[in-house]
Amino acid sequence: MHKSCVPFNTPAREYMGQAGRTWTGNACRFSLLALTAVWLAGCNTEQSALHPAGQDAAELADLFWFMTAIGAVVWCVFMGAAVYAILGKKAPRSEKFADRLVFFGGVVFPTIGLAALLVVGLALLPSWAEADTPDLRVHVTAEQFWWRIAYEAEDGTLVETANELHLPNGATAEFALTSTDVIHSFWIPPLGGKMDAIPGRTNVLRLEPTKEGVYRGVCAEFCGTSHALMAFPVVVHEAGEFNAWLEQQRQPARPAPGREAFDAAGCGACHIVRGISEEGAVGPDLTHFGSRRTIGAGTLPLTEANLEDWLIAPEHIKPGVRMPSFATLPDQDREAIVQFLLELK
Amino acid sequence: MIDFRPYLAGAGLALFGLAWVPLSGVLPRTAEPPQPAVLDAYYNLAAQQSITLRSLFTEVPALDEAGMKERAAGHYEMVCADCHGSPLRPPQQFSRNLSPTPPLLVERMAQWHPPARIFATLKHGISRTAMPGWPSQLRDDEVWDMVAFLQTLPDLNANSYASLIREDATGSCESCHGVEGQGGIPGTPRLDIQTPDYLAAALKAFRNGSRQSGTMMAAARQLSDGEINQLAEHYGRNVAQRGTGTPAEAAAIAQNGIPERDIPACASCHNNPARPGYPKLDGQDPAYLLGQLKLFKEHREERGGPNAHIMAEVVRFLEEDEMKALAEWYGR
Repeated sequence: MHKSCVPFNTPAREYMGQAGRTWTGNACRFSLLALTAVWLAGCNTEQSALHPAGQDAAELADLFWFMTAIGAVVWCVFMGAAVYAILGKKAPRSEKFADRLVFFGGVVFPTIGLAALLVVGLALLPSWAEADTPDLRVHVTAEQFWWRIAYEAEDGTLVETANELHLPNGATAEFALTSTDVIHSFWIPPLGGKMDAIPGRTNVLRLEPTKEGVYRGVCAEFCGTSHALMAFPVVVHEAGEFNAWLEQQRQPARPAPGREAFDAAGCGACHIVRGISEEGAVGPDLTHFGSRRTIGAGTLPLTEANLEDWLIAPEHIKPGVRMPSFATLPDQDREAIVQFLLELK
Repeated sequence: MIDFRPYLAGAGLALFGLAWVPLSGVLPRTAEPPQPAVLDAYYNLAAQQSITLRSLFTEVPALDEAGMKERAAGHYEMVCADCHGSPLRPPQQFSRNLSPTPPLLVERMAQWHPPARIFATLKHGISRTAMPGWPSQLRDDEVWDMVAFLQTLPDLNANSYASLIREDATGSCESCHGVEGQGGIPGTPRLDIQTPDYLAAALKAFRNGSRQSGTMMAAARQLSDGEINQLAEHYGRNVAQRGTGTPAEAAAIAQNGIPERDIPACASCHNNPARPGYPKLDGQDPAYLLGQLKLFKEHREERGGPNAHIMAEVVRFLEEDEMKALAEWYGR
């Protein structure tokens, strides 16, 4: 009989001895624990809700630690009671003591404890009544499997970009979230909570970054085959730096060598490069593609080799992607397109 | 524990019995002398019934549309007539030595019906006979063309058949694509507007079986690389053509696409003189364009050709009335 097939009526001691309280079993368990610890320590802070870099995220992290602390206290008390009940005095308690224990432990303590948690939780709810104008409005449209991003400039014009979000530090940013196909969810864990992007509807989310740095936002609602590859870098700048960045993004692209190859392959059918090719609003805007950090919405770091791989076999890198393969292009054309895109700073 | 040994022994004996008959060589499977008439009748009955069963739920399209029988006639003359004969000439002698003997369709077609059964026969072929299935299982439209042609076959005389297959044309391309490659039969593409690059790539894709068309696969498989390049140079004249430009709604799609529905502009790729590998559309036959758009939508990259996977994404959200409008707009 296989070791793991233990009859249900086997005495526990015998079962434990059989299934694993062996030297190798213990070593396995211990190394698994140790590995988990290493793995957790390696958690990337750029996508961690417990390393807050924004107003909301800080409050959420506080709430998390507060609830964890309360939970730990409750756990200790109950475990203590259980241990006491097993190992403690064998003589029966008086009926009066039992009544009081049930009343205080089962009614008073949970009521006060839960009420305290509710008060803290409610206090953290955003104050919807307070409708001061945000410092920045950003329109985010989620599509399978990327993000269309447009910044509202002060004169009301939109500056369109894609798959990389830049925010000024210490300013409130309001996101108008929608989707064109299925339900997605917009989440930048270090900056705040998540919010669904729903087709035919605009949801509003406000975030206030408090620490400069580069973070990672993700889609937090399963949306199809490449849901896990639908991410975006989030760069929080000092305010002046952000304005300079936005001004630069507002500029049309400078003509770069390789443009003919880009046109000839028909890239412009789906991608806008402002100032060069403006008809195709189907896929991500590539006007300043060369200044971005990633390819394919956070899928690969932007390097020459990765970009070439992406043009040859996007489907292998990101299953379900709408971008077709351009493996049939002559090599020199594809290389010219790669150079052209990298030049779009 | 059940004792399986008697069962295994029984199964072994049964297998030996089954294997003995073919292994011994006594089973007659020769074409000469032909199989006895009673076996012919037996297999024929099975074939008839299998065809009927497969045709039960077939939806029959309109069979009187312009160009259907003309498109099939050339293929019939090139591929089918050797075995089944035509109003112009009897079948080749070798086909009379096949067992079973292929029927003479000029005489027999009048008794065969309904269209769904003819369709099933053409598409799937008949095993244990020389009748193959259609070379591409994705091109039901071509099979229906052939059904339309076969239904008119009994009424054709030598003259009307000759004019249908354009017997006067020299070379098999011209009989369907026109003497100068300018087209003429609705649904058959004109070649003169294309570049040699495009035509050569298309012929090679038909020849290696990646681009799907029973007719063109049969035609291209006879060609060598040299002949393909020669034909591509000859017909790919890159003649500038203007479409008629109606209806107007198609112009918007062709030039700007419908970005909010993820439909890119046709002109981004198809009017581009720098990209000789993409086909030209201005002046192309509208029925052919519509047929190809439908193939891209239905079969995606399986339609075949070097860039079919790109078109598959392009037509994904295109509705049929938009396809029709675009085909007309680009058409002559």
